[in-house]
Amino acid sequence: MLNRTLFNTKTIFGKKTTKKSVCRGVSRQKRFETLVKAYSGDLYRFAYWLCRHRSIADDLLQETFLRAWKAFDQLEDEKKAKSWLITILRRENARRFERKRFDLVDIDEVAIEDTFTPAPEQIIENQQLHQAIFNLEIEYREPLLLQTIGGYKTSEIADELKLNVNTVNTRLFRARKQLKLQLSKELLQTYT
Amino acid sequence: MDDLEFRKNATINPETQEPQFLQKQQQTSFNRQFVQEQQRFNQKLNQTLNVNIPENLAERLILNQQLNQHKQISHKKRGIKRLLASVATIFIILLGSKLLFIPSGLNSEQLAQQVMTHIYEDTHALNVQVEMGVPKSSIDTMLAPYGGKLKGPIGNVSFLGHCIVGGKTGVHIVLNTPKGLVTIILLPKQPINEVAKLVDNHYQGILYPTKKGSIAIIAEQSQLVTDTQLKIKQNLTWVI
Repeated sequence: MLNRTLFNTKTIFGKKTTKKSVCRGVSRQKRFETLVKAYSGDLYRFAYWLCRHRSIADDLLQETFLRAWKAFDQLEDEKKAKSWLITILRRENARRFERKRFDLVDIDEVAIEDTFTPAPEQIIENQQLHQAIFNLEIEYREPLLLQTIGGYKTSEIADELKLNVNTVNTRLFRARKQLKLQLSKELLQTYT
Repeated sequence: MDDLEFRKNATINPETQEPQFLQKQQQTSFNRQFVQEQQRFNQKLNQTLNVNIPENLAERLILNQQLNQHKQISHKKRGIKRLLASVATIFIILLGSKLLFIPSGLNSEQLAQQVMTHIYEDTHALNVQVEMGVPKSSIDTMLAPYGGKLKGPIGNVSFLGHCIVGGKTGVHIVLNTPKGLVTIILLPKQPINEVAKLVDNHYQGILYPTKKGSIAIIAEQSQLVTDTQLKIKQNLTWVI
């Protein structure tokens, strides 16, 4: 069972998941709107890193919330809303790939996000890390996204991806290792 | 927890607060430094992952949901309207069928009853006063669409007109004889299988099958009915 209030990962995303569930007495529409406002940001980020494309992420999110609205009555515990939405989003993403293959933009051409504007070398590092995340295979990228953006514990990632815990730990380990390796290579190239 | 496991845990999740991990972290300066490095990387990773979200994202999502809901409601309403329209159409068709076609299945008795009802309702036919009578040509014109034709005169016709009996059209003729008025109703579209007698306190009559449909003859006296039936038999022909 997921409990979004207890994380072993205190990320900026994880904190968002601690929002209280909305009052049950409020209308269905109001409850839905509260859900959208609370989780659309994290879900968008999850979608973006999953599909590596802004407009597809946007479409994915629209589909996800439409489906969530239709199945809203099935959400019994609103504390589990975020993981419920992420599951819907992952399924929607899989459906989209079943329907058609997208002409994804070459990741080398993607404009790198300028989220923070500190020192120039940090910007470069962010851009390189951005690219490194894009380059990660989906089997490493997805558990990492669930951990960081989703705020999932290892056991919860295992449940969501239908893997055993050891496999999830290995993938998380390798994901971070690969990122560091790629980052160090890039930095070496930048400053030599 | 050995060193290898510690380093693995620190890499996977450097923010973990598990007691064993924290204890191992404090054992050596190398361990502390290692965890700090992983935490710094974790911070960079989170900063990078924290991409900007599109403006008014939540509002757009809510709007999309509401538009979709509205569309679905409209679609449902249209569906219900279409369904109601279909039901109404079927109902009208069935009602029309009932009004127009059910009488065609009348048997002799039922049709005889319809004829008597018509006689009593259409009093105008019996009250028409004419001096010259309706010419034979008019009767032929009236019978032509049904394929009927008179070979000779059937008597002094005081009334000639179309009528509807049992839901189908027929020809209503009234003969003015010295012994009284005789009503003849030709029903080319109302075939029957057997003869039916029409009897009540005022009238006597007969409804019988012919080559085309049926004929009813009604008068106050049975003799008038018999005489008229004979005249009809002798003079009326049907071209089928």
